[in-house]
Amino acid sequence: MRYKLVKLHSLSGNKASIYSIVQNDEDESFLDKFIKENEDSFKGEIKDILMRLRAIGNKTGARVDFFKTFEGRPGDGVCALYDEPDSKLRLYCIRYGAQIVVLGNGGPKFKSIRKLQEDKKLKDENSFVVWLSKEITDRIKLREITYINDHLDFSGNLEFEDDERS
Amino acid sequence: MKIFSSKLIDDILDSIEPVEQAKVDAKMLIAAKIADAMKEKGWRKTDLLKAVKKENPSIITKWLSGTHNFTMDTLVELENALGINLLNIAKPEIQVVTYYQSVHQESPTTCNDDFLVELLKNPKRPVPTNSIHSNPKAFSSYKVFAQA
Repeated sequence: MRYKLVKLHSLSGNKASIYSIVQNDEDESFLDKFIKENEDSFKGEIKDILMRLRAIGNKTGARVDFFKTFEGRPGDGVCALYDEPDSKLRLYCIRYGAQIVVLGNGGPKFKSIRKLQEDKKLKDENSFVVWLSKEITDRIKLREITYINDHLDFSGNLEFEDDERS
Repeated sequence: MKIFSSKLIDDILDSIEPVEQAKVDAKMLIAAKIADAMKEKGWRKTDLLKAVKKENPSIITKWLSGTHNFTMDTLVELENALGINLLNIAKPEIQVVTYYQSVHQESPTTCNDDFLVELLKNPKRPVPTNSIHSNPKAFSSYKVFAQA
């Protein structure tokens, strides 16, 4: 499968750019999927998360305190966004400084689940974002992806193949 | 890069009242201001915890998360601990502002006297942006002066 980073202009601003992922030229991003999968049970939470993302893009930047950190491997920037710290709903993402956030998918983490590995959906979404983070980091190191516009945007090859996934 | 747009996301954003967004913005901006003040002082979360005389460290995480609905008491405690202004309720001082209008005349004639007399009678009259030479009456006076 192919994946492509796309910028979400309605959430991005002069403080941070919000990216998400499109799979195989579909017309919806992973954020759209996250909304569709959770809007029936968590309508208010979805709205709060979108308002927080719009504030991050236009007012505050992606400050580390706004995210639940260390959701991936050490130093890979994988974290989760929530509407409240004790909320069930998690949206997995990758932070690149305070200027770029890449949004994956996520889901509810119920109290009965102690570790995300116990929930297949959460585990799959998390492992995808961890994989994507490594791919992006490797390309940044090789300068196949560079930062432009004062670190507000990515430039370069933003398409990824699933067969690179190990 | 091809611009991506999502009707689903746009529709939800359009449904948000400006005051709802302003409340979220305010919580996040206050959190950012607290974090910046801590950084300036070289404080960790435990330092702020001591300064505000609280015991549960998770409260600082909550404050900095940008989701906390602060009470007036907490904001005042944070202002005192960090030496910052979070409420901005001081009465603004009266400020005297003086405006000056200057008039510049290019021609050595008195051709523009009419304009100056009018200006003295009515100082609030807007100053024309066109040059004196674009005034036909002034231009005629200038020609008479030049011929003499």
